[in-house]
Amino acid sequence: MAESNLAFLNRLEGDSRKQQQAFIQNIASRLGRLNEGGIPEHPLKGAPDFWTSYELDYEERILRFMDNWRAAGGFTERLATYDELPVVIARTLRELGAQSLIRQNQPELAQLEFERILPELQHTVWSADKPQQALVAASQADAGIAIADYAVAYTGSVVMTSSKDKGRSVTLLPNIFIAIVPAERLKTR
Amino acid sequence: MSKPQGSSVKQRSETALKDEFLIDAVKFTTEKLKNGKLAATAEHGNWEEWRERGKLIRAHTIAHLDFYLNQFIENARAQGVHVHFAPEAKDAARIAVEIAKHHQAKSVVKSKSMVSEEVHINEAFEELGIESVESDLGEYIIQLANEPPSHIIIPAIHKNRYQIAELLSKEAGQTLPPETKVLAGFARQKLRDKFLEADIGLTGCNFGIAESGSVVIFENEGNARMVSTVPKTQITLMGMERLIPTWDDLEVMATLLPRSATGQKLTVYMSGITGPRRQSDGDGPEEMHIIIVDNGRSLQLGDPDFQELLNCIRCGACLNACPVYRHIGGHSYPGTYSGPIGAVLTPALNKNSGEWEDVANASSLCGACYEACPVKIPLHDMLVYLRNRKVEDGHTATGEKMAMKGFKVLMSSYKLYSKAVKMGQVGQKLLVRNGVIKSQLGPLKGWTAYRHIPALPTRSFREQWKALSTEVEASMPSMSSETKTRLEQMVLNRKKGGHE
Repeated sequence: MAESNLAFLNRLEGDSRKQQQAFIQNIASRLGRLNEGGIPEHPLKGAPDFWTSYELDYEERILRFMDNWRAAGGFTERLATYDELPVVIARTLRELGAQSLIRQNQPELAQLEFERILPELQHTVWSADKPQQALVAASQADAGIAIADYAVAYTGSVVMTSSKDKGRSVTLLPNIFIAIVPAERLKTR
Repeated sequence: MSKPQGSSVKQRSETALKDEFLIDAVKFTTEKLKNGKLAATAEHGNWEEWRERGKLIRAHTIAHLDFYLNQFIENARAQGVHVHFAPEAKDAARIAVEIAKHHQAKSVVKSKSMVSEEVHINEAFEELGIESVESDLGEYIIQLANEPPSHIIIPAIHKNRYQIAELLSKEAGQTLPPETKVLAGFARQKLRDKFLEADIGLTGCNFGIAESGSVVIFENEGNARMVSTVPKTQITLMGMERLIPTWDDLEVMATLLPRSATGQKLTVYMSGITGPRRQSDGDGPEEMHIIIVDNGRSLQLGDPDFQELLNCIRCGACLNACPVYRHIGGHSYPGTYSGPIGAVLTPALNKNSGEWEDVANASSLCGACYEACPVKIPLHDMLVYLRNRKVEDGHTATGEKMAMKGFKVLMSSYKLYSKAVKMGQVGQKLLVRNGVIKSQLGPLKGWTAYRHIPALPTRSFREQWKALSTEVEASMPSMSSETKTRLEQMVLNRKKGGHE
């Protein structure tokens, strides 16, 4: 009878815990310790001080982010209000010839009413309740839209975390990715 | 996998040096990467401070590896990861295969991982009839060519677009033009299908974060993120030294690694993965395994000559800067890793310097690798230590042994040395033309095949010294009493053997 997945994982876990002590002990003894050392002091954690105090002002952050994003091959538009978003996104997707769109299940995105302003597109909202269907939809969508958790001006990066309402596939699988970055979420570094 | 023929670095280099495509392709890309790095580090500024901080963080982590590895393991387990230990390469392959077999996997899709090359994971899957597909474009190309990678981050660096077009055309069943956009487009579509049908995703790991048990992967194509998002089971192979203590430390590594590797401010994707999919998540792997690999790494711990080797962050900057690698490419080196880091890592991990023939000699010891290294690993010193160990272990060639014995006798006696120089001055008259020797007679060939030997001067430096010293003394500004005392003290100290 084939081993169940749980039994298999439990067996591997048992083997792992048995080997762990010898593995760590070997390292400790090579480092000249009889046992694993205690919590080490780590006074030089992270970036040097001159860098941790580096801060761009609000306007510089926006300009630097846009420059870096473009330099990395992307396109950016700066909008004064949320009200301008639907028009700009609709125009961009039409220009790029997108026929299908998937978006994260974020309330701010629902308010933009893409279904109404882009009736010619096929729309999907990410749903963790139907993961396989959501994955297939993301893999077939021409464009994915998400609101960034953060963005980093110095490198021109967006930070996307995943959760029940925010699938990794939405920002990864479609050919076109549109990130909406609220200016207050834009960090220097 | 096929590598150029020849049992030694020298023999394989001779083959490589006859391959004009290879030389041009390697030169073009390493030059681009090297210049990109120089521009990026200059633009960022304070590069030496960043290097120093990077070195200190890595050295601290390795010095406390037992603690940080345990911390990483416990935190990863708390997030639902299954952690495994592989003391040797074969253990890593065995565990990965066991997981694949249990899940009755038919296909594995891989993102770039040098450790997976080290443990020959593709061969292990293939033996079981499991398809293993490389999803990094460069890795995919060399997988089709049945070759190992020839650069840590640009595995197909030795191939030009015409050779790549030929390989991909065979796979496509039609002739593809040698245009980068078309070739990348074909590979992208082909690989995309593989992602969606793969049972297992296998990744490497740039850094493990001890404080949270997370795995961090840097990449440019999005393939590693796909490998860790789409398949239901994820296996991550991690060298046991890949750790850093905290997310704060990642800021330093994220500053150093992409700039040193490709001259980018940050790679296109940097994924931080903390455990498998949570119950409420819609994607990500249902099951996540991390295999922690030793395979000779622990042999460097506690070794004052080689412990710093474990600080390496695998950026490949030393390869791009190395005048030897830039001429002979990666396939001339033995083992998985090439360039200066490979020349040290391969014999060090295997602890058998003698068996790796002349790899430690594949360096001019110019130190360009050290200058390029973002964590300041003194690879050129390590190459000397390796040569030293090779001699101590009795692996020196008979001819070289005899030559060194003769050199010792000659250099121990001024009279003998002086006579030898005189004989040389007379004997060279047959060979010197325009102040240099070009003749490739007998043992001279080893040198003169590639460069000229300057002729011995008619009077040696020693013979000229009396006149020179008078001249120097007459032209030297007077020394301050403080400097004079210090120098006299140094000379005295040296006479006592330098112990005081």
